[in-house]
Amino acid sequence: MGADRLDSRAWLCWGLAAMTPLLLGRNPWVLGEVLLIVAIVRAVWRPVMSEQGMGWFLRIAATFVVVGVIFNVLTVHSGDRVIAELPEGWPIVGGILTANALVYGVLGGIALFTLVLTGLTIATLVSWTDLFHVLPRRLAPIAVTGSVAWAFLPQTAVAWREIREAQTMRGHRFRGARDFVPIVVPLLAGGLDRSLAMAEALEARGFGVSERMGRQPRSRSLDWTFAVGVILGLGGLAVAAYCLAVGMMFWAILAGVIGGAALAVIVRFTPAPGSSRTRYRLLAWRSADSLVSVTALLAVAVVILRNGTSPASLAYTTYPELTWPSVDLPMLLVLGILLAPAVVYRPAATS
Amino acid sequence: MRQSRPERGALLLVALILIALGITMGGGATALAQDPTPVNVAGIVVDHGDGTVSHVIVPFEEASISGVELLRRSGLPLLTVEFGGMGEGVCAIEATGCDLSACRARLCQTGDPDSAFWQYVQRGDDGEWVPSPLGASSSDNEDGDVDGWFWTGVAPETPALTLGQIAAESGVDLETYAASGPLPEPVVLTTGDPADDDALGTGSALGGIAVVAGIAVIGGLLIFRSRQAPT
Repeated sequence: MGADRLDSRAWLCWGLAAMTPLLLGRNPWVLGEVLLIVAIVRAVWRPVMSEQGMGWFLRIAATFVVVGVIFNVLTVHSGDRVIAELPEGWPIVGGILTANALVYGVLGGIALFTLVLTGLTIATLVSWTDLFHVLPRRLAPIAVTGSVAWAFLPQTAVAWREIREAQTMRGHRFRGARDFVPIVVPLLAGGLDRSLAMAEALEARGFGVSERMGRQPRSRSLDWTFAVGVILGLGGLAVAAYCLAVGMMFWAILAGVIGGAALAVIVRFTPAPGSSRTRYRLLAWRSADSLVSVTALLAVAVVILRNGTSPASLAYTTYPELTWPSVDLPMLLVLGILLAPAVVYRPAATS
Repeated sequence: MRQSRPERGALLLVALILIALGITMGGGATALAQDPTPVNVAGIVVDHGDGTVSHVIVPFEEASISGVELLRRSGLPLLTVEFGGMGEGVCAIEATGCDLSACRARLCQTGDPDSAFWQYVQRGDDGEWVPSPLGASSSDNEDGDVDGWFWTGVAPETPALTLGQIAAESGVDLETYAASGPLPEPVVLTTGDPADDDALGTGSALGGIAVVAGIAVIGGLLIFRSRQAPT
């Protein structure tokens, strides 16, 4: 059962399961448990993670958390636990400052930080190449576009660090905003260079080539079917996610089914453009992948079910009275199965 | 010109008389200010939508106050958000309502148009609940008026109560109440049992701590194992 790597699809399932309760509520018990689980999984899989250029995401997230807490305390003048008072005449911040607002800001910050931490964990453990190859060929252009967009920020972070180190070696010192000009200009120039190189690489591999230049003429109706299917599919999934977030279960299921069906139709009935793909090493789906995926999907199902039947399992608010949050022990126990990636990890044997 | 001793004495006497008169008149003014000003009284009906209804009697000295101000003076725990020139929106009264993010987005409503939110109505002249077109921040409440707050997504169906009915239900004699002090405390009477639709183990905090602690211990062991060299 042990593994030193997991399939990217299993990691996506785990990420979905970890993020769902964070998006649905602010119950401190749930937030604390999910944060703990994500931290444990990160610590266990750290030897195989490549976090180059990712650390600044966490620093930015931590900064946003602090700013969010301060903003919430200063702008929300509600609650039963008054800790200070500013003159009413002060615009926006004037009024009582409450512990309710402080706690609510901290909980929001924990949720935001855990979401970023989960996203970073997924981003560093998922193989985008593998994901690209498991997608239907018809969706290859979307996958390529998405992977290029996803890689933009980490590449920019790496370039920023390299330029800063190079300028430091030349004796440049950073003391103010003006000292960042020698970094920003090369960063922009490098970004343009990288985008041109990426465009040439995609062009050389036939990305976006017109089917009319191929061997078979292509019907206009298929083009329209594909375009409508993509819009319907992605739109349906987006609507489903929104309806799920606001508690409209029926419409969420309906939109999800319509979106999924539209994507299935275009994958099945519209021919794929371009040349066929080959792969040197075949992907293997192992029992560890199955365990992680099944436990993650089970956790998602339980969270959504409990959110519909017993909202207090996930929801918590500090207004207008600061009360002790509800504890849903069965759901906390079920969320514990998100430790599955840490359980199945086995370090690779070294020669 | 130097004044003689008798003149100085007369001036001192006049000054003392004037001071005494001033004190007397000032005391009279103070006594006049302490005369009980007429206290106006309005009522509020808060229907939590779960079988719990709070009846509140709120005193105020102004000729009229807004619905939000009346609710704030009732002493009920309250969460509101500012919408600039549109006034305040009520998110939660006591434990019923939603948090700030949902309130700022759609005043607690979901995408379902019939989902619950805090509806503000006033008792009309015909004895029915009448929605306030300008909202609770711009409404006027005078002596004897009754406001209604209903946590529902549809029109309130319960009959509108008069202030006298609320006072009778709360066991308050309005005349005695209005004369019971400079500004008496508001009176709140909550009736009904909340529907127990969310029977979570609120007393199981120890269980929650045990689960989280157990996960921490297991996680520590897993981290320790991952650092061991493979055999």
